[in-house]
Amino acid sequence: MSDFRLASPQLESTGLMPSEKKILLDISTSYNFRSLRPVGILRVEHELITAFTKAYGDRLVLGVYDPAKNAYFTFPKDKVESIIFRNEQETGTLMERALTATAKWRSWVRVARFALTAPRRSRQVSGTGDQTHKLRERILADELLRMSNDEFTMLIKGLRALARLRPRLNGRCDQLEQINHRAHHGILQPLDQSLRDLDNQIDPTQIGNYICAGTFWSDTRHIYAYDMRNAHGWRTHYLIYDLIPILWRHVAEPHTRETFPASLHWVLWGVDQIWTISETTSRDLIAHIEEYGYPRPDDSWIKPIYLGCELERKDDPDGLAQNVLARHKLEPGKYVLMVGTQEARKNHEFSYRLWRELCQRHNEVLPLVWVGQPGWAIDHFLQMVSLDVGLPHDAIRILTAISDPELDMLYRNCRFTLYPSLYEGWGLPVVESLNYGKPCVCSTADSIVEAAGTSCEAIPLTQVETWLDRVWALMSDELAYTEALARAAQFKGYRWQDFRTNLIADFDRFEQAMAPRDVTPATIPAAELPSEEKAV
Amino acid sequence: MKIAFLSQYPISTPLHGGQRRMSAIVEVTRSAGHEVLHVPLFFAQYFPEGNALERETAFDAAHLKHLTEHQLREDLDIVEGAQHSAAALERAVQKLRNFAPDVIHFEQPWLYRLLETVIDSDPGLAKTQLVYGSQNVESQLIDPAFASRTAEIEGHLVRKADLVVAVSTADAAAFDAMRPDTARPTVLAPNGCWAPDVDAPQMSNLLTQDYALVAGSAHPPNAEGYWDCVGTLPGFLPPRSQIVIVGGMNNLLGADRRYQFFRLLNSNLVTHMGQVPEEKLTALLQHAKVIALPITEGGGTNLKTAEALMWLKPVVAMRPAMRGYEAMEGVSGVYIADTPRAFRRLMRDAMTGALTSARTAQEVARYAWPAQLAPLVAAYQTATV
Repeated sequence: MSDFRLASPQLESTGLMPSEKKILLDISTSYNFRSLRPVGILRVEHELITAFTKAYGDRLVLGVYDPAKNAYFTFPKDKVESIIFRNEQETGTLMERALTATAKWRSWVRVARFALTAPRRSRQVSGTGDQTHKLRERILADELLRMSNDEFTMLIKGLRALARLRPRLNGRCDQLEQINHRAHHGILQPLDQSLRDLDNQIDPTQIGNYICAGTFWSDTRHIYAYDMRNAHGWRTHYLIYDLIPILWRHVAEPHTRETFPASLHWVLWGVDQIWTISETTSRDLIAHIEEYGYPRPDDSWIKPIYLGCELERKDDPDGLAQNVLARHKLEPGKYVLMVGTQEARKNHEFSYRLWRELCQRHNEVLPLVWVGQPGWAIDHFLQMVSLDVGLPHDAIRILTAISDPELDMLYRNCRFTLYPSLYEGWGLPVVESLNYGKPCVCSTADSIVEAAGTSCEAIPLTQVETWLDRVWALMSDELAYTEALARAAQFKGYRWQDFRTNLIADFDRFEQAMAPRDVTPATIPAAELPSEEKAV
Repeated sequence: MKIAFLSQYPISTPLHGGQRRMSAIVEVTRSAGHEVLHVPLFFAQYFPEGNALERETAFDAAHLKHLTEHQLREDLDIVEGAQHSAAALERAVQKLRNFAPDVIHFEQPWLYRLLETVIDSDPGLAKTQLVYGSQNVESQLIDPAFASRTAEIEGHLVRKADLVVAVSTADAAAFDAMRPDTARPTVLAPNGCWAPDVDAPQMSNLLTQDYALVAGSAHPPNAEGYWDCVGTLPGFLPPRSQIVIVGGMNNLLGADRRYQFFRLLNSNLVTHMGQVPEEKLTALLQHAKVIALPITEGGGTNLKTAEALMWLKPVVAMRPAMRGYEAMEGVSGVYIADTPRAFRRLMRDAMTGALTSARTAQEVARYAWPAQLAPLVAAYQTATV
């Protein structure tokens, strides 16, 4: 059995030295989601823009992928600050989505209405071509947004059941899921027409390196990059955050848990360098590669680059953030914070049961504050919490629309934080908490322990009594709390500056290792080049 | 010599392994100059491919209904409710009487329970030689809950038979252990296949992408082998290539919860063809880049292995698939894995063209049916001696 490695892409004979070829940095995610707060993947992509612009100047091309044209378009660098970083241009496509109906039968009525109305309206648009396709998508999106995400799940479940009888329906379901996903995030047709100008289309023969730190699974950009690697010798570099849609797919958002593994498949068959955000993700990725028989990239080209953890301090000119505590009846130092999207993987359920039990055992339990947007399939759980007569009123407060300055205020004034997540790629809220000097009682998920080291209070989720004791001690025992503060203070933190430096250094290392190939183009006589390539 | 064969399936359109072996035995025996009669006693609901002649001896639907309603097995409990099939049994016995065989060959032990009394008491049939054959030791393969009853039924026929035929040395040893020391040793007649015409004109390719071919019947171990070896996520397949699955195992895979994992990825990479007619299977074999044998358990030997070997293409097999074909280890283009991970790596290397095959038709000629079944045909000659 051979130790199979991915073949290096064939050198493309454009006459350009590889070092003269452009570096294409994919910023599609930042562009498509420019209306959202720059956290998570968006923040990382912003950091890459900053780092590569500074390091490579004119060699860097910022590209936005258009799946309809299967091509990248150049994004003007002089508009990065205003459009990408500061979002001064709205996407203009955000549409409101219905909330889940108050009664189940009403939800089913909505599903039935969609099934009756959407095909009829869609059929009324006659013709073919790009414009017709867009119009039909717009109609479907309009109809889909009349249902909540949970109601959409009901629809898809029904259609999938029918697909057992008529397998062709599976393709329709996939299309609907794509449109629903894009409509939900307001990226149905996100590309500004001026950006899609043909003159603006990136010539793939001019590209030497392709870098993607975004959501490569949300469209077909990974297939395009794979093909360009084979056709034009692109070197491809991906930043992979985690394998949640594979390893924890049962608690992952339904669309992503299908598209991510399918897209990662192409990536793993056509990648030259992989960055991850933790040793845990690197380890998970290599295990995935080994388990399923993917070609294993050279180990030296899979490297974790730790993210920074400083919160972006935005101005708060009106001083509204000061009021966040009063608005939610919170007293400084007298509440416990848990930050993260409300979804099963973050394990809000564990914290709820913990608080319920604490309130049964003790008086004067501090309120637990959940900060984050409701995520996928959380409605029933939140409803259960709100109906629980065994949970004292206001024992758990749910804050969903919190600005960065308000979050900053909440971190500064909490007593400690909680993070019982089942799995993370990195566990940013833990390091954020420690960065504020706040103790964090967290699960022993690998990446959390890796990120926070001994500064966090990691307890296995199976040891519920230990959790109860420790959380109560941090509320009621000043000596224990002081010791915990001291431990949190030892946390050294991570800086975005270090992330940028390490990333560029690793990219340079790769470039240098591949450097001998630079001499090859000069050895190819122009007469031997295919005519298409000579024209470049 | 007149030889009658009885099996629990028709063979006019052989689809699953048992049918194909029975069909080959009948064909090779006839080609050797013997007069043959095949009498299938089967449930037509399970084998709709049976032709009109075969359906003359099909069991009555009420028989199957009886078994189903009483949660009984169609093999082990075949005698239960057999009164509903009295007419079919009578027609089968009449065919035997008219044929007046020198040898009656029972394939698998189940039918013998239905016919033992009739045969033993019929003046025209009582003195015929009895041959027992099976491509498994049933008592070893069946659910352990039924093993002792199966061993009793199987052992009875194995002991009583004048001649026993097995597909592997291991199976032969197991049968010999059931027989008295003085009995004739079990004859070894391994599985084989009809030699494909590898030089025949290429049939049109049914698929546009490179693919690996997996064939398997609705035998549960086939599906388990698939899950063990291919797994829920066939990462070893390069983009724009596929794994194509033919045979009844499709239904087992589709009914499994693991089938729902990574649905989108699998819909891109896995093509389920189901039961395919012979010419379609030939076209699929002709164009396959690699033939995969993800077999991790089961007794006997695999017809699929012989067929894969004969096509001279790269074959990636788990070691249990090579039972009976051990001599092929080390022959060009035969890649054997001992673990599922190793299997996936071999598949990856085969699909990327890193593993090739230079196997010749001469190297695998011994696995053609006539060569494999020659000891059995020779043994029929002496069975009546």
